[in-house]
Amino acid sequence: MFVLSGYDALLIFLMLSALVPVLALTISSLLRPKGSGAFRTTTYESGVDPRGDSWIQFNIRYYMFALVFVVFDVETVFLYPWAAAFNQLGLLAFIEALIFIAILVVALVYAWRKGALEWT
Amino acid sequence: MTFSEGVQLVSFIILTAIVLGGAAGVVLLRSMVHSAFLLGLVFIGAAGLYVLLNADFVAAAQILIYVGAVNVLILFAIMLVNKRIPTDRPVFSPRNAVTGLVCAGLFALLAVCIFQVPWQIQEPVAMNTVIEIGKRFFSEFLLPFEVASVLLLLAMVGAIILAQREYIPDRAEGEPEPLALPERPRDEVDTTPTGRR
Amino acid sequence: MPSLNAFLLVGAALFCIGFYGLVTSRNAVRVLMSIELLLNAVNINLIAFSNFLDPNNIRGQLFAIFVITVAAAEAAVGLAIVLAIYRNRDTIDMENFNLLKW
Repeated sequence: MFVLSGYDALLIFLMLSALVPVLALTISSLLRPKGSGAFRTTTYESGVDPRGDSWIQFNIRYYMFALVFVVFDVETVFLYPWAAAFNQLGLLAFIEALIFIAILVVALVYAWRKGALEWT
Repeated sequence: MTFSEGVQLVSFIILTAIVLGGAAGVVLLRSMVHSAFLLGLVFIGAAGLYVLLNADFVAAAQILIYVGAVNVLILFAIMLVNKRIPTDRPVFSPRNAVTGLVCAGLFALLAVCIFQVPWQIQEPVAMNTVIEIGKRFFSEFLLPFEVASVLLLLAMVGAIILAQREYIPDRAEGEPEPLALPERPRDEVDTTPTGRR
Repeated sequence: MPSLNAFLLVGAALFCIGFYGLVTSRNAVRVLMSIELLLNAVNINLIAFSNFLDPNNIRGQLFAIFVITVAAAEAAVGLAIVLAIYRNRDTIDMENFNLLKW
Protein backbone atom coordinates (compact mmCIF):
# COMPACT_ATOMS: atom_id res chain seq x y z
CA MET A 1 0.00 0.00 0.00
CA PHE A 2 1.12 3.50 -0.78
CA VAL A 3 0.54 5.80 2.20
CA LEU A 4 2.51 8.94 1.33
CA SER A 5 0.44 11.96 0.43
CA GLY A 6 1.12 14.64 -2.10
CA TYR A 7 2.77 12.43 -4.66
CA ASP A 8 -0.09 12.66 -7.17
CA ALA A 9 1.01 16.24 -7.78
CA LEU A 10 4.60 15.04 -8.20
CA LEU A 11 3.48 12.46 -10.74
CA ILE A 12 1.61 15.04 -12.80
CA PHE A 13 4.61 17.36 -12.58
CA LEU A 14 6.93 14.61 -13.80
CA MET A 15 4.64 13.75 -16.71
CA LEU A 16 4.36 17.37 -17.77
CA SER A 17 8.08 18.00 -17.45
CA ALA A 18 8.84 14.87 -19.46
CA LEU A 19 6.59 16.26 -22.17
CA VAL A 20 8.52 19.55 -22.50
CA PRO A 21 11.75 18.30 -24.11
CA VAL A 22 9.83 15.88 -26.31
CA LEU A 23 7.64 18.70 -27.61
CA ALA A 24 10.58 21.07 -28.02
CA LEU A 25 12.60 18.59 -30.05
CA THR A 26 9.63 17.49 -32.15
CA ILE A 27 8.56 21.03 -33.02
CA SER A 28 12.09 22.14 -33.86
CA SER A 29 12.64 19.08 -36.02
CA LEU A 30 9.46 19.98 -37.90
CA LEU A 31 10.50 23.59 -38.40
CA ARG A 32 14.23 23.39 -39.08
CA PRO A 33 15.70 23.11 -42.58
CA LYS A 34 16.61 19.59 -43.60
CA GLY A 35 20.04 20.34 -45.08
CA SER A 36 23.14 18.63 -43.80
CA GLY A 37 26.30 20.46 -44.80
CA ALA A 38 29.84 19.37 -44.08
CA PHE A 39 30.01 21.63 -41.03
CA ARG A 40 26.90 20.17 -39.49
CA THR A 41 28.71 17.53 -37.46
CA THR A 42 31.69 19.58 -36.32
CA THR A 43 32.08 20.59 -32.70
CA TYR A 44 30.97 24.09 -31.85
CA GLU A 45 33.86 25.89 -30.17
CA SER A 46 32.68 29.49 -29.88
CA GLY A 47 32.89 30.03 -33.59
CA VAL A 48 36.57 29.22 -34.15
CA ASP A 49 37.83 26.08 -35.81
CA PRO A 50 37.87 23.14 -33.38
CA ARG A 51 41.38 22.15 -32.38
CA GLY A 52 42.77 19.03 -30.84
CA ASP A 53 41.05 16.16 -29.16
CA SER A 54 38.05 16.50 -26.92
CA TRP A 55 39.54 13.89 -24.58
CA ILE A 56 41.97 16.06 -22.69
CA GLN A 57 43.45 15.42 -19.28
CA PHE A 58 41.43 17.24 -16.67
CA ASN A 59 42.97 18.84 -13.64
CA ILE A 60 42.95 16.61 -10.58
CA ARG A 61 41.72 19.51 -8.46
CA TYR A 62 38.25 18.89 -9.86
CA TYR A 63 38.39 15.51 -8.17
CA MET A 64 39.45 17.11 -4.90
CA PHE A 65 36.50 19.50 -4.92
CA ALA A 66 34.10 16.68 -5.78
CA LEU A 67 35.55 14.64 -2.94
CA VAL A 68 35.02 17.35 -0.34
CA PHE A 69 31.54 17.90 -1.74
CA VAL A 70 30.63 14.20 -1.37
CA VAL A 71 31.63 14.17 2.29
CA PHE A 72 29.64 17.24 3.20
CA ASP A 73 26.69 16.12 1.09
CA VAL A 74 26.46 13.00 3.22
CA GLU A 75 26.76 15.16 6.33
CA THR A 76 23.73 17.15 5.15
CA VAL A 77 21.67 14.00 4.81
CA PHE A 78 22.51 13.06 8.39
CA LEU A 79 21.81 16.48 9.83
CA TYR A 80 18.49 17.07 8.07
CA PRO A 81 16.46 14.54 10.12
CA TRP A 82 18.09 15.92 13.25
CA ALA A 83 16.92 19.42 12.32
CA ALA A 84 13.42 18.16 11.45
CA ALA A 85 13.04 16.35 14.77
CA PHE A 86 14.87 18.97 16.80
CA ASN A 87 11.89 19.92 18.96
CA GLN A 88 11.26 16.35 20.01
CA LEU A 89 14.87 15.62 20.87
CA GLY A 90 16.56 16.80 23.99
CA LEU A 91 19.75 18.63 24.84
CA LEU A 92 21.66 15.36 24.64
CA ALA A 93 20.86 15.01 20.96
CA PHE A 94 22.13 18.54 20.41
CA ILE A 95 25.48 17.65 22.01
CA GLU A 96 25.67 14.44 19.99
CA ALA A 97 25.04 16.32 16.78
CA LEU A 98 27.75 18.80 17.79
CA ILE A 99 30.19 15.89 18.21
CA PHE A 100 29.18 14.68 14.75
CA ILE A 101 29.83 18.12 13.28
CA ALA A 102 33.11 18.49 15.19
CA ILE A 103 34.49 15.27 13.71
CA LEU A 104 33.65 16.52 10.23
CA VAL A 105 35.19 19.91 10.98
CA VAL A 106 38.41 17.98 11.60
CA ALA A 107 38.00 16.56 8.09
CA LEU A 108 37.47 20.05 6.71
CA VAL A 109 40.57 21.35 8.48
CA TYR A 110 42.59 18.45 7.14
CA ALA A 111 41.43 19.10 3.58
CA TRP A 112 42.22 22.78 4.04
CA ARG A 113 45.72 22.12 5.38
CA LYS A 114 46.43 19.71 2.53
CA GLY A 115 45.45 22.35 0.03
CA ALA A 116 42.48 20.42 -1.38
CA LEU A 117 40.35 23.55 -1.25
CA GLU A 118 42.74 25.81 -3.11
CA TRP A 119 43.06 26.44 -6.80
CA THR A 120 46.62 27.60 -7.09
CA MET B 1 -8.16 -2.54 -9.00
CA THR B 2 -8.66 1.10 -8.21
CA PHE B 3 -7.22 3.94 -10.25
CA SER B 4 -4.50 4.61 -7.68
CA GLU B 5 -3.35 1.00 -7.71
CA GLY B 6 -3.23 1.01 -11.48
CA VAL B 7 -1.06 4.13 -11.46
CA GLN B 8 1.26 2.51 -8.95
CA LEU B 9 1.53 -0.66 -11.02
CA VAL B 10 2.34 1.28 -14.18
CA SER B 11 4.90 3.39 -12.29
CA PHE B 12 6.48 0.27 -10.90
CA ILE B 13 6.77 -1.29 -14.38
CA ILE B 14 8.28 1.88 -15.87
CA LEU B 15 10.75 2.30 -12.99
CA THR B 16 11.76 -1.34 -13.17
CA ALA B 17 12.39 -1.00 -16.89
CA ILE B 18 14.52 2.11 -16.24
CA VAL B 19 16.53 0.45 -13.48
CA LEU B 20 17.17 -2.87 -15.18
CA GLY B 21 17.69 -1.43 -18.66
CA GLY B 22 20.02 1.23 -17.32
CA ALA B 23 21.96 -1.34 -15.34
CA ALA B 24 22.36 -3.52 -18.43
CA GLY B 25 23.62 -0.45 -20.29
CA VAL B 26 26.10 0.36 -17.52
CA VAL B 27 27.54 -3.11 -17.75
CA LEU B 28 27.44 -3.66 -21.52
CA LEU B 29 28.05 -0.32 -23.24
CA ARG B 30 31.54 0.30 -24.50
CA SER B 31 31.70 4.03 -23.84
CA MET B 32 32.49 4.82 -20.22
CA VAL B 33 30.77 8.22 -20.39
CA HIS B 34 27.53 6.64 -21.58
CA SER B 35 27.80 4.11 -18.77
CA ALA B 36 28.25 6.85 -16.20
CA PHE B 37 25.18 8.76 -17.35
CA LEU B 38 23.12 5.56 -17.44
CA LEU B 39 24.29 4.90 -13.89
CA GLY B 40 22.71 8.21 -12.90
CA LEU B 41 19.50 7.06 -14.58
CA VAL B 42 19.60 3.82 -12.57
CA PHE B 43 19.99 5.82 -9.36
CA ILE B 44 17.01 8.00 -10.23
CA GLY B 45 14.88 4.94 -11.05
CA ALA B 46 15.85 3.35 -7.75
CA ALA B 47 14.82 6.55 -5.97
CA GLY B 48 11.42 6.24 -7.67
CA LEU B 49 11.12 2.68 -6.37
CA TYR B 50 11.89 3.95 -2.86
CA VAL B 51 9.05 6.46 -3.15
CA LEU B 52 6.73 3.62 -4.15
CA LEU B 53 7.88 1.87 -0.97
CA ASN B 54 6.91 4.84 1.23
CA ALA B 55 10.54 5.81 1.88
CA ASP B 56 10.51 9.41 0.77
CA PHE B 57 13.49 10.58 2.81
CA VAL B 58 15.70 7.76 1.57
CA ALA B 59 14.65 8.60 -1.99
CA ALA B 60 15.71 12.21 -1.43
CA ALA B 61 19.00 11.06 0.10
CA GLN B 62 19.54 8.75 -2.86
CA ILE B 63 19.10 11.60 -5.34
CA LEU B 64 21.23 13.97 -3.25
CA ILE B 65 24.14 11.61 -2.60
CA TYR B 66 24.16 9.20 -5.51
CA VAL B 67 23.06 11.39 -8.40
CA GLY B 68 24.43 14.64 -7.00
CA ALA B 69 27.74 13.50 -5.60
CA VAL B 70 28.81 9.94 -6.39
CA ASN B 71 27.89 10.12 -10.05
CA VAL B 72 29.72 13.44 -10.41
CA LEU B 73 32.74 11.88 -8.74
CA ILE B 74 32.66 8.99 -11.19
CA LEU B 75 32.36 11.38 -14.14
CA PHE B 76 35.34 13.39 -12.86
CA ALA B 77 37.35 10.20 -12.49
CA ILE B 78 36.52 9.24 -16.08
CA MET B 79 37.62 12.68 -17.27
CA LEU B 80 40.84 12.45 -15.27
CA VAL B 81 41.68 9.06 -16.69
CA ASN B 82 41.80 10.38 -20.20
CA LYS B 83 42.87 7.15 -21.85
CA ARG B 84 40.61 5.71 -24.45
CA ILE B 85 40.61 2.27 -22.99
CA PRO B 86 40.99 -0.25 -25.78
CA THR B 87 37.76 -2.16 -25.43
CA ASP B 88 39.12 -5.22 -27.09
CA ARG B 89 36.88 -7.56 -25.20
CA PRO B 90 34.04 -8.82 -27.32
CA VAL B 91 30.71 -8.85 -25.58
CA PHE B 92 30.29 -12.53 -26.39
CA SER B 93 33.42 -14.28 -25.24
CA PRO B 94 33.45 -17.66 -23.52
CA ARG B 95 34.37 -16.04 -20.24
CA ASN B 96 31.49 -13.61 -20.42
CA ALA B 97 29.11 -16.39 -21.45
CA VAL B 98 30.09 -18.47 -18.42
CA THR B 99 29.73 -15.46 -16.16
CA GLY B 100 26.32 -14.72 -17.63
CA LEU B 101 25.23 -18.31 -17.00
CA VAL B 102 26.41 -18.11 -13.40
CA CYS B 103 24.55 -14.85 -12.89
CA ALA B 104 21.38 -16.26 -14.45
CA GLY B 105 21.67 -19.25 -12.12
CA LEU B 106 22.11 -16.93 -9.16
CA PHE B 107 19.00 -15.05 -10.19
CA ALA B 108 17.02 -18.28 -10.52
CA LEU B 109 18.18 -19.36 -7.07
CA LEU B 110 17.21 -16.04 -5.53
CA ALA B 111 13.82 -16.13 -7.28
CA VAL B 112 13.09 -19.60 -5.92
CA CYS B 113 14.06 -18.43 -2.45
CA ILE B 114 11.86 -15.35 -2.73
CA PHE B 115 8.80 -17.37 -3.75
CA GLN B 116 9.31 -20.07 -1.15
CA VAL B 117 9.59 -17.95 1.97
CA PRO B 118 6.19 -17.28 3.60
CA TRP B 119 6.53 -13.53 4.21
CA GLN B 120 4.42 -12.11 7.02
CA ILE B 121 3.29 -8.92 5.40
CA GLN B 122 1.98 -6.12 7.60
CA GLU B 123 -0.04 -3.10 6.63
CA PRO B 124 2.06 0.05 6.22
CA VAL B 125 1.65 2.88 8.69
CA ALA B 126 1.40 6.50 7.67
CA MET B 127 4.08 8.50 9.46
CA ASN B 128 6.44 11.38 8.94
CA THR B 129 9.52 9.40 7.99
CA VAL B 130 11.94 12.31 8.35
CA ILE B 131 11.05 12.95 11.99
CA GLU B 132 10.91 9.24 12.71
CA ILE B 133 14.39 8.74 11.22
CA GLY B 134 15.65 11.74 13.18
CA LYS B 135 14.36 10.25 16.43
CA ARG B 136 15.92 6.90 15.71
CA PHE B 137 19.27 8.41 14.81
CA PHE B 138 19.54 9.65 18.37
CA SER B 139 18.15 6.64 20.21
CA GLU B 140 18.57 3.26 18.59
CA PHE B 141 21.19 4.15 15.99
CA LEU B 142 23.28 6.65 17.92
CA LEU B 143 26.53 4.74 17.71
CA PRO B 144 26.30 4.13 13.92
CA PHE B 145 25.43 7.81 13.53
CA GLU B 146 28.63 8.90 15.25
CA VAL B 147 30.73 6.21 13.60
CA ALA B 148 29.43 7.41 10.22
CA SER B 149 31.13 10.75 10.79
CA VAL B 150 34.40 9.00 11.67
CA LEU B 151 34.01 6.93 8.50
CA LEU B 152 33.54 10.08 6.44
CA LEU B 153 36.59 11.65 8.08
CA LEU B 154 38.69 8.60 7.29
CA ALA B 155 37.37 8.41 3.72
CA MET B 156 38.29 12.04 3.13
CA VAL B 157 41.78 11.70 4.61
CA GLY B 158 42.43 8.48 2.73
CA ALA B 159 41.16 9.76 -0.58
CA ILE B 160 43.18 13.00 -0.32
CA ILE B 161 46.35 11.08 0.50
CA LEU B 162 45.77 8.61 -2.33
CA ALA B 163 44.90 11.20 -4.93
CA GLN B 164 47.94 13.28 -4.07
CA ARG B 165 51.37 12.22 -5.09
CA GLU B 166 52.87 9.83 -2.60
CA TYR B 167 56.20 11.62 -2.20
CA ILE B 168 57.12 15.26 -2.09
CA PRO B 169 60.15 15.95 -4.25
CA ASP B 170 62.88 18.40 -3.35
CA ARG B 171 61.85 21.83 -4.36
CA ALA B 172 64.04 23.37 -7.03
CA GLU B 173 63.84 26.91 -8.27
CA GLY B 174 60.81 27.61 -10.38
CA GLU B 175 59.13 24.41 -9.27
CA PRO B 176 55.50 24.63 -8.18
CA GLU B 177 54.46 24.47 -4.56
CA PRO B 178 55.21 20.96 -3.24
CA LEU B 179 51.93 20.65 -1.37
CA ALA B 180 49.91 21.80 -4.33
CA LEU B 181 48.21 18.73 -5.72
CA PRO B 182 50.40 17.56 -8.56
CA GLU B 183 49.16 15.89 -11.65
CA ARG B 184 50.46 14.00 -14.59
CA PRO B 185 52.25 16.15 -17.14
CA ARG B 186 49.81 17.07 -19.81
CA ASP B 187 50.03 15.30 -23.12
CA GLU B 188 50.84 17.32 -26.17
CA VAL B 189 47.55 18.02 -27.85
CA ASP B 190 47.37 17.66 -31.58
CA THR B 191 46.77 21.21 -32.80
CA THR B 192 45.97 20.50 -36.42
CA PRO B 193 42.40 21.41 -37.19
CA THR B 194 40.29 18.33 -37.18
CA GLY B 195 37.00 19.94 -37.95
CA ARG B 196 36.92 19.65 -41.72
CA ARG B 197 37.09 15.98 -42.17
CA MET C 1 -0.09 -2.67 -6.26
CA PRO C 2 3.18 -4.56 -6.74
CA SER C 3 3.83 -7.04 -3.97
CA LEU C 4 6.92 -7.66 -1.89
CA ASN C 5 8.00 -10.42 -4.26
CA ALA C 6 8.04 -8.04 -7.22
CA PHE C 7 10.39 -5.62 -5.46
CA LEU C 8 12.61 -8.47 -4.27
CA LEU C 9 12.81 -9.80 -7.83
CA VAL C 10 13.88 -6.37 -9.09
CA GLY C 11 16.56 -6.27 -6.41
CA ALA C 12 17.75 -9.75 -7.30
CA ALA C 13 17.91 -8.93 -11.02
CA LEU C 14 19.84 -5.72 -10.35
CA PHE C 15 22.23 -7.62 -8.11
CA CYS C 16 22.88 -10.23 -10.81
CA ILE C 17 23.48 -7.57 -13.47
CA GLY C 18 25.88 -5.78 -11.15
CA PHE C 19 27.66 -9.03 -10.37
CA TYR C 20 28.06 -9.76 -14.08
CA GLY C 21 29.60 -6.33 -14.58
CA LEU C 22 31.85 -6.78 -11.57
CA VAL C 23 33.30 -10.00 -12.93
CA THR C 24 33.56 -9.18 -16.63
CA SER C 25 34.68 -5.53 -16.62
CA ARG C 26 38.29 -4.77 -17.36
CA ASN C 27 37.97 -1.05 -16.76
CA ALA C 28 38.53 -0.27 -13.09
CA VAL C 29 36.01 2.59 -13.07
CA ARG C 30 33.35 0.28 -14.50
CA VAL C 31 34.09 -2.19 -11.71
CA LEU C 32 33.36 0.55 -9.19
CA MET C 33 30.15 1.40 -11.03
CA SER C 34 29.11 -2.26 -10.80
CA ILE C 35 29.71 -2.17 -7.06
CA GLU C 36 27.36 0.80 -6.86
CA LEU C 37 24.75 -1.27 -8.70
CA LEU C 38 25.17 -4.06 -6.14
CA LEU C 39 24.72 -1.62 -3.26
CA ASN C 40 21.58 -0.22 -4.89
CA ALA C 41 20.15 -3.71 -5.23
CA VAL C 42 20.75 -4.25 -1.53
CA ASN C 43 19.07 -0.95 -0.74
CA ILE C 44 15.99 -1.86 -2.75
CA ASN C 45 15.73 -5.08 -0.77
CA LEU C 46 16.21 -3.35 2.57
CA ILE C 47 13.54 -0.76 1.88
CA ALA C 48 11.12 -3.36 0.54
CA PHE C 49 11.54 -5.33 3.77
CA SER C 50 11.17 -2.15 5.77
CA ASN C 51 7.90 -1.31 4.05
CA PHE C 52 6.26 -4.73 3.98
CA LEU C 53 7.60 -6.51 7.05
CA ASP C 54 8.58 -3.78 9.53
CA PRO C 55 6.39 -0.74 8.86
CA ASN C 56 6.19 0.41 12.46
CA ASN C 57 9.86 0.91 13.17
CA ILE C 58 11.41 1.55 9.80
CA ARG C 59 14.80 0.00 10.45
CA GLY C 60 15.35 -0.87 6.81
CA GLN C 61 15.29 2.79 5.84
CA LEU C 62 17.93 3.59 8.44
CA PHE C 63 20.08 0.71 7.24
CA ALA C 64 19.67 2.04 3.70
CA ILE C 65 20.92 5.48 4.75
CA PHE C 66 24.00 3.93 6.32
CA VAL C 67 24.56 1.81 3.21
CA ILE C 68 24.38 4.98 1.10
CA THR C 69 26.94 6.61 3.40
CA VAL C 70 29.31 3.69 3.12
CA ALA C 71 28.80 3.65 -0.65
CA ALA C 72 29.76 7.31 -0.89
CA ALA C 73 32.90 6.76 1.18
CA GLU C 74 33.72 3.67 -0.86
CA ALA C 75 33.33 5.53 -4.15
CA ALA C 76 35.57 8.38 -2.96
CA VAL C 77 38.37 6.10 -1.77
CA GLY C 78 37.98 3.60 -4.61
CA LEU C 79 38.22 6.23 -7.32
CA ALA C 80 41.22 7.78 -5.54
CA ILE C 81 42.89 4.36 -5.65
CA VAL C 82 42.10 4.11 -9.35
CA LEU C 83 43.64 7.54 -9.93
CA ALA C 84 46.76 6.58 -7.95
CA ILE C 85 47.16 3.37 -9.94
CA TYR C 86 46.61 5.26 -13.15
CA ARG C 87 49.37 7.70 -12.22
CA ASN C 88 51.79 4.90 -11.43
CA ARG C 89 50.97 2.35 -14.13
CA ASP C 90 49.41 4.60 -16.78
CA THR C 91 46.50 2.23 -17.26
CA ILE C 92 43.25 1.33 -15.55
CA ASP C 93 42.90 -2.07 -17.17
CA MET C 94 42.24 -4.60 -14.42
CA GLU C 95 44.29 -7.23 -16.26
CA ASN C 96 47.43 -5.14 -15.75
CA PHE C 97 47.11 -4.79 -11.99
CA ASN C 98 49.22 -7.85 -11.37
CA LEU C 99 51.84 -6.47 -9.01
CA LEU C 100 50.72 -8.74 -6.20
CA LYS C 101 49.98 -11.73 -8.39
CA TRP C 102 52.02 -14.75 -7.53
